[in-house]
Amino acid sequence: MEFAFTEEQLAFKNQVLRFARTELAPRAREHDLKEAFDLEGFRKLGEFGILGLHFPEELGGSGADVVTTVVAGEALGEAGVDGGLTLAYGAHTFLCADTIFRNGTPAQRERYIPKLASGEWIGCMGLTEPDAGSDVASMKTTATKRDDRWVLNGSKIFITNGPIADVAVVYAKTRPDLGHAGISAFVVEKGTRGFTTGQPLIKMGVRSSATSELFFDDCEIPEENLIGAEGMGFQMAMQTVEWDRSALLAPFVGSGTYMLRRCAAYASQRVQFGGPIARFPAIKRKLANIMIFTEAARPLVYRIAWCKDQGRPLNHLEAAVAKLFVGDWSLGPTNDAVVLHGGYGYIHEYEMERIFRDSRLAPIGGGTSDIQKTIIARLM
Amino acid sequence: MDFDFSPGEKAFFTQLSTELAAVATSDDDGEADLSALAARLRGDLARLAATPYLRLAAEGQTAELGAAALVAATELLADRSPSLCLAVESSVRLLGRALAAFGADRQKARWLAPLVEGRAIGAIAIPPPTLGAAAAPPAVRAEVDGDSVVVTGEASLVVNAPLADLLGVVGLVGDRAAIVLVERGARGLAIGERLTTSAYGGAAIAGLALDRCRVAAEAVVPGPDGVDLVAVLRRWESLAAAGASLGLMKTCLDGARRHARTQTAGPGGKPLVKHQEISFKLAEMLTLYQTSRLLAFRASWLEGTRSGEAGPVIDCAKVFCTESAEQVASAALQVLSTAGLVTPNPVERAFRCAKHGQTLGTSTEAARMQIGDDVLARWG
Repeated sequence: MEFAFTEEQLAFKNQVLRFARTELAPRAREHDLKEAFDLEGFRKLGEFGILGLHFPEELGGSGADVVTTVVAGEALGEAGVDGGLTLAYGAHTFLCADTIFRNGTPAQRERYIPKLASGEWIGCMGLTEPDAGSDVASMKTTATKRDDRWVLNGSKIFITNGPIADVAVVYAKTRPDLGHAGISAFVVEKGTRGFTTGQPLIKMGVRSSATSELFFDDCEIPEENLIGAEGMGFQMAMQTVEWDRSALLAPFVGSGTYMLRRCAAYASQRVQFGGPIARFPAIKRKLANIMIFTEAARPLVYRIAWCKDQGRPLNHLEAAVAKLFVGDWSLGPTNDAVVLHGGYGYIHEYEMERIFRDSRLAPIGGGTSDIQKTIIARLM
Repeated sequence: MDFDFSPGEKAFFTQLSTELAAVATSDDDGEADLSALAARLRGDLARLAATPYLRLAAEGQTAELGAAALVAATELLADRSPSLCLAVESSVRLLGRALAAFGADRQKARWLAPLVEGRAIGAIAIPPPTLGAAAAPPAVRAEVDGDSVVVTGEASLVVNAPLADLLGVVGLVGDRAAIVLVERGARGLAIGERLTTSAYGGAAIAGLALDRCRVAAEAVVPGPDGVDLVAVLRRWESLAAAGASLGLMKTCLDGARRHARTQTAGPGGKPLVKHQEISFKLAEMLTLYQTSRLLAFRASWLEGTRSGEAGPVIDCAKVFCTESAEQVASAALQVLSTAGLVTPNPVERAFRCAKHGQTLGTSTEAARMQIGDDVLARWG
């Protein structure tokens, strides 16, 4: 058992750090404040190659392995890139594009992956509904075959990139009587008649990430827009869990290191009672708690990535453990980062409050902590 | 990067588990007298010597068994008998490893071989760390006198002291930190009464005093130039504590799971494990256990690579694993309910031991200060 990165991975991480610190991190505050999606930053992610990192070169990607993809995600977090932007990237690449890549026809891959890998198009994934969150099998959106078309009716909610997406992977019931086995996946393009998006939802955190409802009102799509086979939708959605528990969690891990750097710098400069506050044990304790969380979370995430690179089936127990730990145990350290900064921790400009708000999505998005506990308990 | 143990390492774990199955655990509950304890410990050391464990503990890693495997082996040992784990780690992993790493060939031939071959019991007295304050005066001092060294001082809470054939006492020889080797029965060496302790009842712990105890100069193992001997010993100790904590968590998880599956509660006699309050506790326990494991494995691996990152990550592992052990043990007792009140009971025993992992060696307070100092040195 060993935990070394390759020289190439380390070099790549440094490249991503340099790029992100220069091109992306300085844009974070403004976009969070304005709740504005950073389209320019997103395009830069595409130009740098991050959006299509793991796709084959012939489809516009770099052919990177999963661990390298996670390295990139961690580096973005470590550089201080806004959580809204990394979430947008995650939903785009791993929940939308990867589903088409893994399950789509050659024609679907050719049509969508190059444009998604470059960032020319933005992708989203519609699974959750107003009355079907944790209980995804109770979704009500249907897809009915009519001649050579599928007709979608229903709605989705909390869809990252929803308002701005060019392409949506949408899950709908082709057999409402079959529960999970009745769910199928479809590609729906922006501008399709009967497909509309709602107003951007105002959120506690990841505010630069555009989130909305998706509405399907007799939305007709070609029959070739079915992804994979009928009834395989739930399995496809579960496949995204591997990415959700590794690449999408990686920026949270990286942000732990970012918080440490910022907190250490602040504590060394902030003078109270005749000297830097860094000298107080209470401050060192907070720094330690942030580091302990970061060091504990990191191998959990990389284990998932490494197993995926080995071609192993997803270990659902380990995936749930990673999600649960990052989700629930991040509250303390992110709070410590805010409180360490005193009043400045409450001020937007100092970023710690944004990271705290962003981190509150971790126990909710992609499967709540209670669902993770249910999975773990069942599999123990 | 590789998250698997090798086939050789897995075979070692199987062999070790077989040997450990013969280890008695009843003496862990503090009833054995010294002669019975000594006989038991010698027997167990002989049993362990039939496996690669003692050599691995003394060397930190071998060509076939990595540093992470040592942590996993310690976990097995602590799961079977926390007291035996404490005794063996003190004897071989600390004293033995110090000899292996810093001793001269003659010292190794005379004193290391018996420890690693399970023929001798060792003990080591390490000065307590100071919490960031100026160094306290050393408790043990030795003055060179011709071809011998005269040692004076005291040490408290020395594991194995009442049983040890060889004691290593860390102190200042001249102005340099060193380990002075004192054999059982040496004139001027006094071992205190065996302490009655609230945990680790199967180990023999006492203080010792040295009153102008004369030993040969060749019985001094100096720390190498540029190496903080005490810091190195404390790191090994922290890794041992982390590994032992994993074993305690395993004991508690296994006990709680077994209980929850076999006991019923509520109308209709539903198994405890089907009650969400219980199943969620088990899930949280497993999450802490798995997270602790990976962190401890990585910390040990870093130490084995002599990485500059090792020190703070080892401190993180010490804090996280020992605190998690207390939380897991507490949750396990909650699951056991009144069954946890009845002794002897491995979960209850693990609960008592788990708390003390946070204070033995480098306390979690001291470890957090060290982590904080490291963070500030890097980014302050």
